[in-house]
Amino acid sequence: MSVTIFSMVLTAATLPIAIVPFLFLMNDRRYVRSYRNGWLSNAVVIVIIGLAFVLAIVSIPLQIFGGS
Amino acid sequence: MKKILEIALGIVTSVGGFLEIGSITTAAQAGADFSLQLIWVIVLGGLCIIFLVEQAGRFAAVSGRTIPDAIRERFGFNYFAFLYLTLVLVSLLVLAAEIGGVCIALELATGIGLQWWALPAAFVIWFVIWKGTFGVIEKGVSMLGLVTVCFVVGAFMIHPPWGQVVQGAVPSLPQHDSAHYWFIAVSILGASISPYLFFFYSSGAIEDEWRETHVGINRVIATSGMSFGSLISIAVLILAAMIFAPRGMKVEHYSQLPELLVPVFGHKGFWLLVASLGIACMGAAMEITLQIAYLTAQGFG
Repeated sequence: MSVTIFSMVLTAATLPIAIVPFLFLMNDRRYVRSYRNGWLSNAVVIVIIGLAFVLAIVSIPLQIFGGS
Repeated sequence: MKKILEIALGIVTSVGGFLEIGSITTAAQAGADFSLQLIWVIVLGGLCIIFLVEQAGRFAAVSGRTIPDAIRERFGFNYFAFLYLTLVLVSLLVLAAEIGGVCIALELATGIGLQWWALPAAFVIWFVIWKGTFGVIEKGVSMLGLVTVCFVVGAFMIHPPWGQVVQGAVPSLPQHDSAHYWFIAVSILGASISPYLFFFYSSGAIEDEWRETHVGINRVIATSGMSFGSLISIAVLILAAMIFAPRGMKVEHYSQLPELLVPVFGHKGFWLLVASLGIACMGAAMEITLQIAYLTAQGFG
């Protein structure tokens, strides 16, 4: 069970690496032409990236102090 | 008519693929340790994944490329290699957990120790992936994955205090055990916003040959599918909150999971849990394996 929870925490920690490029892609006209992200979608993704960074920094200490 | 069918199928695929060992485990622990308080984290994770998945689908439909492909093109091989390695490593870990989930389900069903199931389970997964086409795997597994709806049924039948359920959907601070509270919150978010899910969704879009016309459908599918999926996670949490929390029981071992469904469904509950766990994890294991293969193929051309 701990392997599972640990892998979830690790997943949270690696989120920023995947999502940041994605944000760029979703706004790059060469790929998405007129379907660029609206301000809401961009805002949400930025929030998610921020959240993901927090998660990345916080997850290892939490695993040590708050883990089961 | 065809569009309705497509939408329905898309939703089923999203729902069936949503629940896996991570979401079940983290939701169960959350319910046991903090009763209904952590529902908001699942809601938050759900909202995030809706946005991410919708964008992933839109990107694939409009650009005709998959995301790993585009990342390599736009950001150069070095960054991609770094991303690739990280993702593969974490994916392998999650894959191990998923296969573990299948083995646990089999152990619960047959009493034969889980370590004996590891190789057969891995073999079956590999075999199905080798022989099956993407479409068949995606849809077949997802249909089967609908068995997890039993959690939602169970959550209703157990009559939770709905006022408190709604309250739990609002973010709250812990009154005790802060570190543990946030630890579970983080693990729930990690389980919900798994990168593999959204890469896989975009691969699926390309395989199904989505085009620009699919952008509207994509929005519906992404939102509904991920919402239903989140609801199932919430249902698991509610069940754990109603069954484990009052007795102060911690969810420490997988053998406790059937207790989520037995009070409501009786003996059938045991088999429902085994089926849900086994199918959900089997599906996830296949999806992760496929995703690793896709990452490799798409990333390296």
